[in-house]
Amino acid sequence: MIDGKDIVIRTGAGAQSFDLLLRVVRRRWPAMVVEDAVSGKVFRDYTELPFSAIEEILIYRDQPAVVKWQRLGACDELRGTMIHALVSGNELTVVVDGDPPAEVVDLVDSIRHAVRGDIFNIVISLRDAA
Amino acid sequence: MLHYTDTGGYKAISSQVTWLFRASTPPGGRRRGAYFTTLKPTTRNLAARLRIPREKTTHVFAFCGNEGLRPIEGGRGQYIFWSSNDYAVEAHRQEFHGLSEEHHD
Repeated sequence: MIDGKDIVIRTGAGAQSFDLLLRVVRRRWPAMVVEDAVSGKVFRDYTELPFSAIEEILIYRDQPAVVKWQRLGACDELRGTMIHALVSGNELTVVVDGDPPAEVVDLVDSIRHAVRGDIFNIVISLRDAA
Repeated sequence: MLHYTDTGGYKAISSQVTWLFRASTPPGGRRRGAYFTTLKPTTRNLAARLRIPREKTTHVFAFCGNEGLRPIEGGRGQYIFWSSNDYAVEAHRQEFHGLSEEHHD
């Protein structure tokens, strides 16, 4: 009655975790669609997300994936087309397919690196250095 | 607490006086167990949030109490719980079983 692999990443980024995560995903999935998992509100431009007010999102690879997920739920045909993410306290949980394709495994590695590394601090340091 | 299943699973479990939810090993390296949720049938994105096919949400068992159940690790532990062994629900805890669309709070 449950599927998916839950990857828990400890982070100090808090509500900014989604911002960091979505920057990474957008590089791989430029046509991504983001949905507030609880309300169902869809954001085509992720910068419109009220990051501090949302705790759970679904990130689809593209609009056709949105339609199919709503009609079918999880299935082999949709493997590697949706990432589910939740923020709680100092944790970011990323849920992917139980047997994710290599592209998604690589994507999760990039997310982990970005969220743990807190790229915002890196940018600030570079500005300070300039 | 709720447990979703398809027609086949529904028939197997509902045929018993005491519901027995059998522990099994889900795909993806998740620990062997019986899994449950607090998400109701009307929940938006139910199948996506549980990451199961929609056809596996057609039927539901609802019961009171959560004895012996633990939240899974991570954010979904807010609404997904599990038992490492088969999980029995005796008649006095049973609240509803049937089509998910017919379940009411």
